[in-house]
Amino acid sequence: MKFLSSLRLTVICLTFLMALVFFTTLAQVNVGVLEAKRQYFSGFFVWKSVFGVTIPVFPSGIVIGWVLFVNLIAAHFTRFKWGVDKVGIWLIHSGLIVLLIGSACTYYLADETQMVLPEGQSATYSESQQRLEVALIKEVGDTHQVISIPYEVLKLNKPLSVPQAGIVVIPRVMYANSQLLTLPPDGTIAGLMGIARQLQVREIDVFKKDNFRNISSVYLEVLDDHRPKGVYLLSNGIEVSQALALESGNWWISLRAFRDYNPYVMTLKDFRHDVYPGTQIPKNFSSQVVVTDSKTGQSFESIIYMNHPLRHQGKTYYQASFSDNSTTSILQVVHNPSWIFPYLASVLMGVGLIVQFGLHIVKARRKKS
Amino acid sequence: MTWMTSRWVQWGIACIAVGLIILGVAKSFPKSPVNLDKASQLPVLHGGREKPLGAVALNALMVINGHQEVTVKGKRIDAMTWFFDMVAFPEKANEYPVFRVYHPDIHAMLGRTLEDGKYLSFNQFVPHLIKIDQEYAKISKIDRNDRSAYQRALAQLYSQLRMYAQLQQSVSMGKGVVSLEDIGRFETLSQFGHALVEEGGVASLTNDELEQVGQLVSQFKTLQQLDADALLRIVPSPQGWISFQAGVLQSLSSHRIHPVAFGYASLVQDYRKGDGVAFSLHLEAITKQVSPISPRISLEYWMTKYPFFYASMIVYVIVALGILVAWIKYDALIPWMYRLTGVTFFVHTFGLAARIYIQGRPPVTNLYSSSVFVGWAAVLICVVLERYFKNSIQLLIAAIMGFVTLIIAHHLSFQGDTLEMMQAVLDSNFWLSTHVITITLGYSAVFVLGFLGHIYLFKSIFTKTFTQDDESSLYRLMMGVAAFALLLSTIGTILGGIWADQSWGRFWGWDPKENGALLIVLWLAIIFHARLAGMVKGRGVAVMAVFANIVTAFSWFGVNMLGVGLHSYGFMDSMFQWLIAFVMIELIVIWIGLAPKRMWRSQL
Repeated sequence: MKFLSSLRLTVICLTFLMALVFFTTLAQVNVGVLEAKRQYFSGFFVWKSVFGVTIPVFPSGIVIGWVLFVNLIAAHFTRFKWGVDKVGIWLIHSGLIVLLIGSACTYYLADETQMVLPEGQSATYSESQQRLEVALIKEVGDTHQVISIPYEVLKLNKPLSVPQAGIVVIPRVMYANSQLLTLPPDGTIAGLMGIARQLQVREIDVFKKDNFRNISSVYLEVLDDHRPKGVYLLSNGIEVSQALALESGNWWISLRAFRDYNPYVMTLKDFRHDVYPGTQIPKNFSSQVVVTDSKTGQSFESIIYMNHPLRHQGKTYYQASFSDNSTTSILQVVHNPSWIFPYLASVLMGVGLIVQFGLHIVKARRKKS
Repeated sequence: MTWMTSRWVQWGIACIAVGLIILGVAKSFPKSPVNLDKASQLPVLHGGREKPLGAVALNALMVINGHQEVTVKGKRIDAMTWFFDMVAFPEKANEYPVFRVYHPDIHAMLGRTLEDGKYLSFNQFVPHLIKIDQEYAKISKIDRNDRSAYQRALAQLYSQLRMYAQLQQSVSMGKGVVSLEDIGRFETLSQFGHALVEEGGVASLTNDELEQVGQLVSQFKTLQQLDADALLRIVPSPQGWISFQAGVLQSLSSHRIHPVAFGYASLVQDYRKGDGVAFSLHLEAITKQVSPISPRISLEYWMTKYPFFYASMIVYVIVALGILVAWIKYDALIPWMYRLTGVTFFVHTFGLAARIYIQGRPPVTNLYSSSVFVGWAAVLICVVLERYFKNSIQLLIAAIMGFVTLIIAHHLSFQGDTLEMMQAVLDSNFWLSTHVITITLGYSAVFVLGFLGHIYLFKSIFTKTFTQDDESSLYRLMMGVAAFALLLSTIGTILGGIWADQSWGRFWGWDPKENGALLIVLWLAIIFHARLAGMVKGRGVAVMAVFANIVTAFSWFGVNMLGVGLHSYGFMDSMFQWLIAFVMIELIVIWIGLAPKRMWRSQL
């Protein structure tokens, strides 16, 4: 207990954390932010290959974070003393606790997606940049029934039942990143159906840079009411949906970016991309959007531009990018229920630091006089 | 010599000395019949903002040549002369060795070696332009960070050649040097075209008239192309600044060529003839047309002519040397150095304020201005501390910080316009003046802390006169500055997080620059906790303070250089080597600082 609340442990943890932050920064020369974060902050250890053997070389950021958190809490119960001259210290450290809780919440709860909006068009959903889903779509009257299976739940050779469609799916081969070649299949997988009959999949190394998109592919065996229906090739590199005639009706199946549907429609009226005269330096990007509630039909207009996001129903829309000769706007959509934590922490720590520094100066002056 | 100890005399002499240094480094124009000083004040639009022509010429030369003057056959040519030579005497100027090329592979491509000289003229590139174009087309597809040193050098050369060609065409109708006859003919042609349209058609034209129509059309196309490619916009119009060519094209709609375009063509001709009187008259006419000239432009002209930061840099060196001499022998020098620092700080402040006014932005907008500001704030912190502690240590740190940051800024200024327009995402004066300023002030405070650490180690290891009292006062000073640095860095980092949350929706994105700021905060926190835990005392804090210099240098400059290899060329690359050298020196200082106490000369 004594060690757990000791300052020595704090110093060790902070030093480890500093090293981790430093290496995360250096790693970004070769890999993207997400990959760097994964290498140094997730799991229990940082793994490195030494003479061909992968061994844990360092505790991970998450572990250090938790130890620091426990250390800080323990210190509050054992070492910290109350007193007027300690108010600043208390504030700073409670701000730190709020910050740590906030980052844990963000880590588990926050979700980022993108909405791609060409001028004059509308969207009811935003798409994830990382996560994929297997989508099953059936026409019901003039609307659609959509079944979404998050790609993460698919496990190699593990049957997964989809009761709404009355089927069981079994992933037979999975590729984290692949190339699709228009060649006849080599025959290693029997019972191919749909587009799988015209393509070969070649596995390639997973891209670790942020701006490269991995093409995930899966050979999915479908059992319709326990009868083999065949093996379908799904990939986010295939743009079209494939027909799937089942007992429960005619479905379309595809692997696509995970979609997050909204109870409102967003329409892009105008996208502007201004540059300073005579240069290519962007002066401003802005999207003029109309948001219409799907149920009530009520609508309002808003302009989203740099440093001015739109917050609506728990989601925040940021001007992120554009394409198609500045006629399509790309909005970053962030859903983070714990967004308030860093603000709270900032106030606590900021006030704490100022109070403590002020006390420091007052004390020094008193000593002098 | 009692008058020499009078405060006012000392202030007065310090002012005169600094004034003389400013006059000494001021840009001068050669004694030539044409008044280039006046011409350098002409307002033009370049890089999205209005600025004096002199600043454009100087910046262009600095970017291409790496110097503020070009040396041709032992003769020095200033930027304005170079610019006018380029436009009015292309046959001569294209032979000036202005392009600085470091990379041996580029020399090899041109069929020469680096030993033949690193400066090349435009004409030396002419036979290879197509090849350079093709190479660049390939390189432009490669991500900036993935380019090799050669590829970076070639891309840089390409943009420099392009800029040169664009500047040369600033006052051009397409072929050769612009002449008044060309302009007059185009005006006549466009009037003829007008008459034709009004008469209602081209049905019955004589051969002669047909040829005129053909000339008009081809000249129109050339002018349009030049206009689309123009780097400088020198003609004011109700719709904002337009290029010279657009000013000439105006005669199509209004029968008349824009008088400013005409004026510039005349200037070029006068310059070519060496006719100073006509040059001045035409200059006067243009000035009347572009008046009123905004005070920002006039101020920038003065800033270009009198390099205040450069002058300050020189004085800081003098102060640093003066203090060292004072410590060794002449104590009486200290008050002089104090006054000199005060006056220089005023000049430094004036330069900073002028930049704020010209740009209409908070002081820190890019790496260059951060360097100027870090130095300024460090000097301010030191001068304030000096008033309390009066031991001239802070004065030495002020001088060193002032000198080092300004020389870095001086070298950074060769990368282009230091008052460039802000990218959309940075276009927020609120965050620029809160987050950026606090972070940068934090850098200043950490560097002051780091140098205090140096002084602590130096005095305790190498001098015998370092007493227990000196030690504890220096130690308290270090902790105070460290607390100030921690305050600024933490608040600055938090504000950065809030800005990121406002503009990208995430408080923390693991961006290298964010991480750099966090490293500083963590290291300062480590210093405080280690001291509290009794793991370090005065000497340990001093050693850690020196390491804080490394952390800050990394987070300030290092993260901007990620991906830059050791074997590279060009500016940022040589900066990288300086950074490595700095880190090495600091590591040696730390190593010396860790020497066992029995080896210390002081009796602590």
